[in-house]
Amino acid sequence: MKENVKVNNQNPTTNSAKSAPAQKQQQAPQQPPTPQPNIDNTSKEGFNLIPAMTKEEKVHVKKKNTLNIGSVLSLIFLAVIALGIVGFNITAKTQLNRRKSVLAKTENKINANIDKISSNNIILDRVKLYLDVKSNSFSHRKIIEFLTEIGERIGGISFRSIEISETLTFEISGKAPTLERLSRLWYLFGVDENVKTINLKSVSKGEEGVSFSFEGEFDIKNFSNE
Amino acid sequence: MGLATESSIKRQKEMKVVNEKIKQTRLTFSDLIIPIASGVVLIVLSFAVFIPMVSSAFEYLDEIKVTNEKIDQLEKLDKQLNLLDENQLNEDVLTSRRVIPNILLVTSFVYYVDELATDTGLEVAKIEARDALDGVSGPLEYSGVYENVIAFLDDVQDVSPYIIRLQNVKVSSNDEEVWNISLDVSGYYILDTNEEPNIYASFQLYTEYSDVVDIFKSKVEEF
Repeated sequence: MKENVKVNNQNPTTNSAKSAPAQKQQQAPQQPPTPQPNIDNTSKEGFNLIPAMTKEEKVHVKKKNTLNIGSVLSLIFLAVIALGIVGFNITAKTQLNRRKSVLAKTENKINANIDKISSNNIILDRVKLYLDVKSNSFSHRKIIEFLTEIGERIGGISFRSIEISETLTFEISGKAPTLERLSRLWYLFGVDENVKTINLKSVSKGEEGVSFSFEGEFDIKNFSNE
Repeated sequence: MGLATESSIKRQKEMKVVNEKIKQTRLTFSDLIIPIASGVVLIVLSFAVFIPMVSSAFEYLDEIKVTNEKIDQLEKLDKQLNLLDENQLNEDVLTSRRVIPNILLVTSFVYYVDELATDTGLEVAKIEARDALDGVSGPLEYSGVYENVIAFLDDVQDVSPYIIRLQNVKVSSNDEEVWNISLDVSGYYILDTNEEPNIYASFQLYTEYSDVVDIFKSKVEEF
């Protein structure tokens, strides 16, 4: 096809050059051949009979070139993406493996000292149990001595029973010589900072004096064992 | 007439050439094969390879983060362990095991408490003891003079080599001289397991509680 086009491209100039003498020959067939005008010069320069490309054609050509470059770029893009992702994956995996080997070495080092950890934990468990028991413990002796001291301060007060629970609630019963002294005892319990709450549970007056029973709650602050 | 036909033929030929040119420059399906194929390959690879690879890479990164944290933790633990003197540690283990034993026999505990009570001048009224959760407990009743009762309360808590908790203490007197004391006494023990400790568990040096360890030492001297 392209060869045909070439032939056709050359033909118009040669044809036009050849057709003129042919006509003249037809008009005067008997005349001797005269030297031809310098047709070769014109044929060398040539006439571009193919019209210049229109804008549309140029766009078409450009488009085609662009698309060819686009296909190359798409392949490059594909390759870059593939390499990037695979590289990222391999780098991450390699880094992980390195860190894991470091971790394994450190674990081995620690495992060599596992007995130290066990011994430390044995002591620590006991220390914590001790602190737990001590945190809620209080001195029963201090409480009994506190009650006795208050009784002695008023005078004539004797306690028959003192019951102290783990939550520091208490119940005491005893005897007082008079109601006045009992009320004084009640007052002192009420204003003392070591007693959180106090309640006169029962009171009875007999020939031997006044029997009473209180219930309430102590404040651990001053009775703590710590 | 001849000229007109020649020029029209020329024009036709020129048009033909131009058309050929246009045809040559026109996009054909073959020009789009590579971009479309690469696009399809990209999509297929994305779902089949790239997305799993990227997600696994991110998982690796997360794992690296966790691994680094573990390494830091273990290095810190190693430094702490290096602070412990092995001889001292073994000695302190023995001391603490005497105060809070591995196992506390009911008989041993009751024997100790009873001996303490009789040493302070109290008489036994009632002894009961049984195994409880991580300890031995039971109600005890003694009687004696007020001073001895108070001394017993003091000793059983403070002087006792065991860790003891007193509950429901009741002190009562029938007359001025004799006092009765009833109480629930609990003694503790810790059953040590043979399991290896978890090296990733939170670790605290026992030396931070050196004051308690000193108390243990003083209690051991009471035995």
